Amino acid sequence: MSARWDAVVVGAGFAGTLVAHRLGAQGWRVLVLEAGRAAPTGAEASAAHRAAGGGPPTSPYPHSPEAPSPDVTDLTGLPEGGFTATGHLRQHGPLPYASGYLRANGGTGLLWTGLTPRMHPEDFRTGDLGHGRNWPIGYHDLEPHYRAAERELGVAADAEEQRDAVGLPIPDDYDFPMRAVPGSFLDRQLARALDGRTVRDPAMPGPARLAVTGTPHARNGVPTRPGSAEGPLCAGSAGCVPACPTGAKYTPLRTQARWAAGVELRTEAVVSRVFADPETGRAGGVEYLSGGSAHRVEADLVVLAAHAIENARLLLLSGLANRSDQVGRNLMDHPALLTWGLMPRPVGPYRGPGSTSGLEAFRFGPGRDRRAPFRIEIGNWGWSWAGGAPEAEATALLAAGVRGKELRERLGDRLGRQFSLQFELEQPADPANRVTLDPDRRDPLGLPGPAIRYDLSDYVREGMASARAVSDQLFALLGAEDHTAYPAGGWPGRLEHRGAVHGYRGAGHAGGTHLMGDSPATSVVDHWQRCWDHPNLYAVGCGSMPSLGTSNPSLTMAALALRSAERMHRDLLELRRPAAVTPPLVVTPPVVTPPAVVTSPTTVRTPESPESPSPSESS
Amino acid sequence: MSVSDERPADVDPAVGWDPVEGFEADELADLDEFLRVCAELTGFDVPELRATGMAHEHHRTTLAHRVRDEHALLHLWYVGAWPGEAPSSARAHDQGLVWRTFHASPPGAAAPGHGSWAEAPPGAEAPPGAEAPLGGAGRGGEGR
Repeated sequence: MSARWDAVVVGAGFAGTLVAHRLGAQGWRVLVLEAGRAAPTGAEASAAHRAAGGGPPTSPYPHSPEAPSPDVTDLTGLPEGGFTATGHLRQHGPLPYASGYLRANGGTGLLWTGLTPRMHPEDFRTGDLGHGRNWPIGYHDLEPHYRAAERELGVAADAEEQRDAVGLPIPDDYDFPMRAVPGSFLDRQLARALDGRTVRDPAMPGPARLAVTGTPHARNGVPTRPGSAEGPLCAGSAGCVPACPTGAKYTPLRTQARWAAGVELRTEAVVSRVFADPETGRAGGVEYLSGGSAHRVEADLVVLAAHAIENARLLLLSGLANRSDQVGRNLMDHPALLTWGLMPRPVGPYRGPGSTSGLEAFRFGPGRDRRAPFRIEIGNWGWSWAGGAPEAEATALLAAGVRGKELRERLGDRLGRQFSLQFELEQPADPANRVTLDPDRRDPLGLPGPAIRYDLSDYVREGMASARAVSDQLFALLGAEDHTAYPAGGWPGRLEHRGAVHGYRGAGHAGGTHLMGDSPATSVVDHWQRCWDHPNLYAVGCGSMPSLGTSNPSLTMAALALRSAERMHRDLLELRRPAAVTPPLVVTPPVVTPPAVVTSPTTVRTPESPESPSPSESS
Repeated sequence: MSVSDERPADVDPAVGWDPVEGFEADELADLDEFLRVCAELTGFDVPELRATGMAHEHHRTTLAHRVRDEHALLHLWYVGAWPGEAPSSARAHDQGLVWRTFHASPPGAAAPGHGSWAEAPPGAEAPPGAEAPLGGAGRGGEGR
């Protein structure tokens, strides 16, 4: 069976959903193939997670046996150091890639934390700074698309604060769609103790000045103008991961609800191969497995948006786009060094979003020559990420035989003063960190599974040493008791550097596996995220990023996707405008030259008007 | 038989059960007696336990287990689940006493309102003289 589409998008997560939305809005017929299953609502997922008494972040979502997802619980630290890994990702070390992702409709965007800081202008020039790769575009190329993404996702932030405290060039007349989400009581306590003070980062020539700074969120604050918010105000359920129970956090499902009629979603459709013409390089479509059989769809444009690791896997499975030998290489994440302790007085943890503010001084500047930069998130949810959730604390005290009023008081005192700091470090692109196809192991559909080789360079380790030195000084300024410890059994991500032990978690920010560049010899995609070797094959998402900087990358991924969607639209229009002589069909697209008809073996397509389905759509 | 043998020697058993043997089969059959024992164990008084709405459900869960000891009862009330089992319901999890010890709710269980997280929690009254910021704008604070 064969059907022809204007575009086929592989993956219904963040990037794929946005691309499909934009192409659909411009009248193109788009088929979205999602390997995983349909997702429950946030309220349902939250309730399921609580009914199970917790569990890893992907646990309340349906897992398709045919499209397995990795989760953090696949990793186990060994008592004598090192780790083992089970599940979807085969890990060759030496260190673990410590993040999971979710293959389901909405993707990992269902369970993301919802923080949306922009990248800093410096982050696009990391190669010039001596580590990793440069982007082929800069902050200013992306800036209008950042604004578009902030509109699409519904971002709450204070533009003036982002300009002053982070140094982001943002147009003077720009308002985020929503006012900043209020900082937590904990943020206020930290601001009181830290603002205006300095600490010494051993890698920086001078002292670093501290300023607790609000973080942009894609969760609903008070709208700055009528109609600039969709969904309810964030009500402080403090359950953003794995699911916002009220719908205040953006997920791709919100955009999907706005898809035009010309966008069709098929779930449990696992794409196994992209096919391309060996002569011209043009992609012809994809093959997918569903319901026990293989299906082939043809499209003028193929867009891979399946997650950095799955995109690379699919390109490798297809034998495409790899003239540079960079497909699957340069795998990056944000290793997150956690430190945690007790504040002198109750701070009210486990209220509000997971993090509402941070410390930005270590993200840019001269220290970057010597160690990986980092952004410090102030953690509102106690020690939960470090592994000390309240249930675990209670269980420990119960096991110690504490009973009655003493139990109640000791738990209340300890839990009420918990806080954590999360140092998210930049990891530069390194071709040795890579995704390959496992020669020995196939997934339930018989497709070779992804295998990972991953390490952290001395530059990142030096960043950890700086982070810990800064943390020690912050704890001293706060008068806080430091309870940080990385016992081998509980920390699969654990390393020793210059005599100190550091533990890290994965922030879930996979990138780099099909990175963009300005040469087909050294990069996989161009700055439009279009494969150099295949003019109508795009690979979108964090996999295209040559550096991740220190920002949670979903906003940047969204900005890139929206930018690429403009290019895709132009590509499709150009395809419709060859030397054809027949008159234009039915409708005229906005702005651009009226499309002519191109002959095609099955159907003839022009874009519909952006606002409504065209009469020709029914054909 | 499961035992609570980690009890330190200096903790005086407050009520008259044998901590090694656990509870007799019919000892907790009466709801009021069950709550009295649980109040002593948990440090939450009987009205507080009843106010969780979990008295009957936890009583039923307890009676469904042949072997009952202090540790299991405490785990049930504090975490919302019999040891080694999933919670008897989402509500059992949400009403876990561990969260009440510091006036919080489990993630996702409550919706206390926009900006509620900026307010001081009980017991957080600032020490004298701490109202004036030490410097800087304190932009991480409330009202942004």
